[in-house]
Formats: sequence, C-alpha cells, structure tokens
Amino acid sequence: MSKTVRRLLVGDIWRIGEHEHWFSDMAKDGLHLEKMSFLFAHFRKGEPKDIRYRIDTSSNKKMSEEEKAYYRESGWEHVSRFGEFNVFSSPAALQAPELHTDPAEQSYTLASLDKKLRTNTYIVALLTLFILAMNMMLWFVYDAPTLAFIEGDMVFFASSSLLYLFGVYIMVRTTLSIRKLRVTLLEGSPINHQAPWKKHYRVNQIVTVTVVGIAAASAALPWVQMGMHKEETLPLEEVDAPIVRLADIEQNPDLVRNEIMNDDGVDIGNRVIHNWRLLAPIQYETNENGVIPEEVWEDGSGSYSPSVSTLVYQLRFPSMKEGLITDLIAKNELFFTGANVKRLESDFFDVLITRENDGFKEVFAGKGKGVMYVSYFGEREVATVLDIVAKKIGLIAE
Amino acid sequence: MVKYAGGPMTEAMYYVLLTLMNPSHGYGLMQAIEEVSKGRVKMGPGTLYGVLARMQKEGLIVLTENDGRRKTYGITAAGEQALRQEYRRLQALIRDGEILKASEENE
Repeated sequence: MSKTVRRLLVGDIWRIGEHEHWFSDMAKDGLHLEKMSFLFAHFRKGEPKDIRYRIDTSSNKKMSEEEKAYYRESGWEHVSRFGEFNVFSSPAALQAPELHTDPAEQSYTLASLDKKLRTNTYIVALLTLFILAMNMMLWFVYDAPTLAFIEGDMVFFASSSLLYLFGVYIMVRTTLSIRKLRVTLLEGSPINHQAPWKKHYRVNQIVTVTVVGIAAASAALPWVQMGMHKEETLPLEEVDAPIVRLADIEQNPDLVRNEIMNDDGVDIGNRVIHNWRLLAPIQYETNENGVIPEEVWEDGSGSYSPSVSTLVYQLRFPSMKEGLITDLIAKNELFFTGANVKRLESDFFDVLITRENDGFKEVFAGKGKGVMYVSYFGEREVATVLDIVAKKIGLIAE
Repeated sequence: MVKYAGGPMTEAMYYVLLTLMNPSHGYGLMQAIEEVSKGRVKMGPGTLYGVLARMQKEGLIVLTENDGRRKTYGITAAGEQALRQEYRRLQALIRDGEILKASEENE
C-alpha cells in the first residue's frame, strides 16, 4: 500500500479558505499534506489529527526564512509552497494565534503578487492576440481548410489551441480573483477558513480530467495515425474495398502492370495506402499503372499505358463532404487549368462532379459519409468510371 | 521607496509604530503590542511581518540592528511624525464622539 496519496490540485489555489478547510478535512482522515506539485497535492498517510492549515503570501517576492521563523515562533510550521502561496500548519490543540489579525494588512501582503499576475496576464493576452491573428491569417491563406482538418494537422492544432486557451483562462481568472480578494480584505472582511470546498473541488476535477484527457488524446493522435498507416502492393485480384481498379475500367485481358518496385518491396506504381484519421476513419489512396503491349495510343505515341489514382474517404461527419470535395478539386487544379468542370445532377450521388482535360478524367463523388476521387488517364469514357464509382461507393456511404 | 501618503492607519500600523517608540525585535514586538494595548490587540505573525516589511519600504521604520537571527527595528523621524499626526486625528475623533458620552454613562 502506498504511503502517499495524490489529489488533483487545479488552478484555484486563490480560493484560500476552501483549500485550508480541505487540507484540515484530509488531516482528519489521516491524510497529511506533504507537498504540492504542478497538478497534485500529495498527502502522507498517518493518524487522523485535528490540524489547522493557513495559506499565506508574502509581501516580498519570496517568503524569507526570517518570515518562516516568525511563524514558527507563533506555532506555525511551513508545510509546502505552491507558486507564491505558502502553506502553514499548526495542531488545533496548540491554539496558535491566527497568522493574520488584520484583513487590511493581509490585503497589502497580496500587493506584489497582484502586480506580478497583472503584468504576466497583460503579456500573455498580447501574445494570445498575436498568435490568434497569425492563425487566422494562415487559415485564410490556406487553400484547403476541410482537407487540413481531415488530414489531422488542424485537429492537433485545434486541440492544442483549446489547451492554451484553458491556460489563459486559468491565468485571467486567478488574476481577477486575487484582485477581488485584495479588495474584500481591504474592506475588512477576513478569509473564511471554514469555507465549503466540495462543490468547487468536484467541478474542478471534472474540468481538469477532461482537459488533460483531450491533451493526452491529441498528443497520442499522431502516433495512432502512424500506427494505422499501411502501404502495400495492390493484389491483382478483386479487393474488398471501395477502390476503382484499372482493370475494371479497361476491361481488357491483355492489360499488364507497369511495376515500379521500391526498397521495401512495394510496387509504388500499383499500391494502396491505408490511413486512419480522427475525422476520416477509413482512408485509401491508390494508384495503378498498366500497359496493353499490343495496343497503341490513338495519337500513335507508343504503347497504350493507362493509369488511375484514387482517394477514398469515409468521413465521420457527412456534413464535411462538400468542403472536402471543394478542397480536392482546388488541390488538384494546378494541373488542370482550363479544364471542363461539370456538376452533374444525380439521384444516386449527393455530389457528383467531373472534370476532363487532355486525356485526364476526374470524378469527385460524394454519397452519405463516403467521398471518392478518381483521376484516370486513358481512353475509356468517364461514364465507365462513373459506373464503377457508383458500384463501390455504397461500401463507405453508411 | 514608496512614501506613506498619510490618511487613516490600520490598527496594526498604529500599534507597531507606537510600540517601536522603544526599538524592539520581531517576536518581542508581538508581546509588547499586547502589553501596550492591555491585552486587547493580539497581533498575528503574518500581519506583523507584513506591516513591518511595508512600513520599512515606506520609510516609517528602520532596521537598527541585524545580527542575522534577530532584526531590531526602530521608528524614523517620518514615522514618529506620522504617528503623532494619527494620534491627533484619533483625538479629534474622540472629541467629536463626546455626544455619545452621556448615553454611555446612563447604560
């Protein structure tokens, strides 16, 4: 059995009376405050005791040994420090005098902390505005916002921004609360050392666990994505995946592969890449390159060698479909200036767009959660490609 | 150095200055204040340390001796002037409160 117990300690140490009361209640259960760290208060297991705790700040930058000695002579032992806050304890039986007998004077001891917090908050607020402005600019400049979200960079960005904003929120709240505490003390209202703590403690626990959970998940995301990434040579036979195959388009038994082997033994001319993303749990990226040795291109420029590449997404939210298709069209536009883009009406598809240019035939199709992008280079009709897309997209639409 | 701007003093300030008319060290001050106030004012160590640090910054008191372990404080001329000014203010307050005297005596 462990000799120490940890409890979450989150960003609201300025609720001085509540913490003092909490530490006392813990001591009554035999858990004695030992130290405070970034996220936790550490308690040592022992005999239940009736102990008073007081949290104090110093008017100097740091609480001096001399100051601690003053307190010790009055029966208060220094227990731990958390930032600017020092915790002292004294057995209730000792009936040590209160540390502060004059709320107005206690208010002055918060002056330097108040000033420091305000300065820091101004700096952080300016920094935050600057970062937000930068990100807004990046966002507007970026030509494929939905794609960025689906590819995961933006998910990571959004969750880390959330964490950052949470930190700023804690900081601003602390600054305002210390300010308010100073005013209250100056008006002569002392700190309530018996303030009820349970409600704020529970709320804080929930908030902190949620925020830490989001942080951990977003830190793990790139590793999960890496783990789910798989690259392999496409088998010659049918695969049970919503992929438009070159053989299905060409319908010619003489079609053979143009192989391009890489160091890992994967034919990068005929491969499939499996990916997982938070917002697109199923993702395929394929490309196939073939040749029909007996056939020549219509313009007579050598052996007929068609190729196809596809991008397949099953989205978590169907509402992202339009945005993704817009981004896919824009992303590949570089090579298709002056192409003939057609948006087709369809009872079957939710979105259906084709683009043709100089032997390239592209299909952008969306149905339910599924989005398929096919880029085919060859002499078969785009209608042939559409038929295959219609057959395959059902696998990912729901 | 932040100068004391005048105006009403806190009770802690007043009693520390009053007690420091005879130079004294920290812990001795706590007892001296209790004596001077005939047991009415029991000053906590946090309040005492805070008020000493603040009044030292304001130039109302000064360290007269520092042997490392104990620091002895004394009042400065500015401190004494401020204390006397506060004393006169408090006297004025008492004089103005004379009208209460009759009813107090009848109780």
